[in-house]
Amino acid sequence: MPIAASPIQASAVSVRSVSRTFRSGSGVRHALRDVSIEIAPGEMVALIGPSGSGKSTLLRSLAGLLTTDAGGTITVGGRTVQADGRLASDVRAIRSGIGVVFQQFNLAERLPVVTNVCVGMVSRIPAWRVVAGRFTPAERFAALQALDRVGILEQAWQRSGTLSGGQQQRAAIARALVQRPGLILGDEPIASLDPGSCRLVMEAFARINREDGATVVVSLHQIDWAMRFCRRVIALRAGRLVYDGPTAGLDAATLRSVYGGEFHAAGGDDATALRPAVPAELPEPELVAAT
Amino acid sequence: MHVLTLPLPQHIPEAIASRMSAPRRGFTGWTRWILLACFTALMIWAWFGAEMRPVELALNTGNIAKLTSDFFPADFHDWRFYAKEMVVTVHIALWGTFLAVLAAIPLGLLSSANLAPWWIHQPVRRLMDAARAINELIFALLFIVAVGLGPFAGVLALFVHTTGILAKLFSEVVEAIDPRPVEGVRATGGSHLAEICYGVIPQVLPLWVSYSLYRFESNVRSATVIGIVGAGGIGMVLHDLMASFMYGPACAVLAIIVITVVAIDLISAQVRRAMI
Repeated sequence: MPIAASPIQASAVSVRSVSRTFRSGSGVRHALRDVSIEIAPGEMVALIGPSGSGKSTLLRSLAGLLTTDAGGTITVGGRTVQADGRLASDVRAIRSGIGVVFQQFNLAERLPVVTNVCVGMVSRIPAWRVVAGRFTPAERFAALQALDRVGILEQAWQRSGTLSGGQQQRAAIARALVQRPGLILGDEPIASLDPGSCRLVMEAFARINREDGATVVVSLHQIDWAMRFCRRVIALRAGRLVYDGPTAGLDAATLRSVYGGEFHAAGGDDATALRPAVPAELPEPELVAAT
Repeated sequence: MHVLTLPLPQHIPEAIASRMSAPRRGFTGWTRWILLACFTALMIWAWFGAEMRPVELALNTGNIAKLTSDFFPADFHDWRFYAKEMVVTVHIALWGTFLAVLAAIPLGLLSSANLAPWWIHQPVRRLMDAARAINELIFALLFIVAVGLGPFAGVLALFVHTTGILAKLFSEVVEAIDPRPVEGVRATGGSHLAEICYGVIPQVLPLWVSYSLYRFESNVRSATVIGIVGAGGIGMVLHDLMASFMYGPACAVLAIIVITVVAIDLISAQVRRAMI
């Protein structure tokens, strides 16, 4: 089974002066402002920041699902995903080496789980088999093996839509796994899951990083998950890189600089009372215990 | 039973007071009256165009009663022949719909704004508009000239007209899909074809099947009509009987049509329910 046995060549990620501006009828929004990041092969990095800080834009740009403004360059594993606001001509081939796990799973709900996982291999099979939905025994084996690794082999032939959120997300991870990707991106993969499922999903990411050696970049809403699973954190705020360093270096002051200003921007100091001020209220000892 | 009434406070802040009732939307003031006047004028104009004569309808009830009574008792003497022609009608509808479904799959995808660029989906849509705008009866007349009298002309007429309808319905379903599963396939490096097969089709299939079955029901009804102009099936029999004032047998034919159409509607509804 060549698909399952070959070792993964982890990809380095390089983001150089990338900006992304969204224009709508009413105005201009700067989702990313001159962001530059270098990630070494095999790292597991958490991407944090308040809503609208550009996490999702950055991840989607990395995956080649969104173009950035002219002037920036993104390379993954040494290959250019996009440069100067244009996707590479071979972007589909590059995407096949990048696994993406989305907040809403992005599975075809009516298809069996195993078929959704096989979709991770469609970039390697001829067009007629894509249309006919014919997967070879070796491909089905690879899909089932991936499902076994994420712990939902039992549900392989169930319709994906009948699974729980946590199981669907693990199916989505299995789909990314069969791509044998050098880089796995998670766009808020646990934001709509219960705490138990969050742990299983984060453990799956950590295992792929540890055992397969894939580079993992995952955006997270709650900092404690980042603390528990990632050694490096990249923080965005209003599209700007505000922190890039070890998780251990995230102290209360840094977190306040990532999240703090949002409260003022949202309507004066009164807003602090209305919103769950996650970072500011997190007591220092708990942070230490979590790591 | 104790009823709790929520009291309205004495003082209502301006910000809330201005939002106490739903804002007026759509046409307001003079535009509303002008539109109403336009509609009334249109209906009056159409009254004369359509030569509406309700009084005559009332005066001629005697004639209608006479004609109706001529239909009874129904003459089922030749029922085997009628049944055979009814089956032919269903066959016409089957092939007309089947070919239309096959053609509507690519044409429906090509006329979806979220899959095809405007320079493809606009021309395809206009083509489908044309196929839809022209009634199957007129297509039947055209195809009778092309392929001669008989059921095959009926099949082609239903095929062209139904393709126009199904392509539009199919594309409307495609345009309403959740884009996320499609993005999921795209993110794995899949081709356009893979995006359609594993992102689009699984979402639209139940409604596509439902619409196709519904069109089959409609086409059984239409196939009885196009027979009247010579495109085969029971309609041709009905036309001949009516033309020779054989109302009793015509009544039997009508009964057979009603029974068949109702039976097919019921079966098709069951299948559709099972599919969704």
